[in-house]
Amino acid sequence: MSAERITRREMLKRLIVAPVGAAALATLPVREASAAALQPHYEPYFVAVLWEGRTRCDSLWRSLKGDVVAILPTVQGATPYDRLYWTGYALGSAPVNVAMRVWARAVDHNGVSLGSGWRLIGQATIQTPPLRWFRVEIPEGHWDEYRIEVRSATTRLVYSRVIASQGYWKE
Amino acid sequence: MRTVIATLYVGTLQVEATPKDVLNQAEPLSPTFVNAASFRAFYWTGVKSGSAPVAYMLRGGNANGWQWSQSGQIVGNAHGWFRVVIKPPARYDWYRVEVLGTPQTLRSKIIGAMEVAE
Repeated sequence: MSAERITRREMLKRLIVAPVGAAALATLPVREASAAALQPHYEPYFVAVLWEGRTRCDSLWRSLKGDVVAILPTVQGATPYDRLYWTGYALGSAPVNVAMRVWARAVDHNGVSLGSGWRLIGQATIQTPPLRWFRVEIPEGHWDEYRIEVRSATTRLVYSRVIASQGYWKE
Repeated sequence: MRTVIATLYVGTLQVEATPKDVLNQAEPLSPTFVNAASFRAFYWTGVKSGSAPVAYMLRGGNANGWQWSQSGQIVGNAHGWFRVVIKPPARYDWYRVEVLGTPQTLRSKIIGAMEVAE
């Protein structure tokens, strides 16, 4: 596998020139009470970067932060946000084949989870040509904490960013 | 414009066959929340201890009585997470969040979302 160091400026340039691959979250529970998340007319008016960095993906399910400790969140304080978006790309000249899954949970006033474990929001496999950007939308917002995990049979370095948005719902 | 989130409730309720709200009030006219007209949506998340479904009834109204209601079921495995999105058709001063079902524990949280100008 070949690795390279790039600056954030270079990363931005690649974002502009590279075509974007998209992965749809499978196993996303669809129920009437969550119908708001599926409405097509949504206009974000505020976006925050919740996490940005490099993740070494290997055969273990790892948080984007690199840990394999399932109780640790990847992002916290996500309560105000309607949606989360995960964008990034993997270094190397081989096609990308990275599995990912998204968990969420709610916490009390002290930051203690209301229950054990997590709620599985969805999972997907990101398959793109080399150095192509991917984008995953996580539509189930307003959970307090999320854990985004990745896994790859071939070790890969993934540069990525998690952003969250608040927006208008045109209902 | 920015969305402001307020935590309105965090608690544990023993669900029973008789309906009561998350504050353990059985009186059907008692609101769970008052002064809630500024919220456009509510997000109710939590964990239920049993595998049996829990029925819920949501009501919105004011001092003149309940004017809107919506019911549903929280389903899932024992110790599984649930999420209910509540988007009432209008803004109401009072809301009541009522549950009933097979005895089990409901550990949950309700947040309200409102938009405020920056």
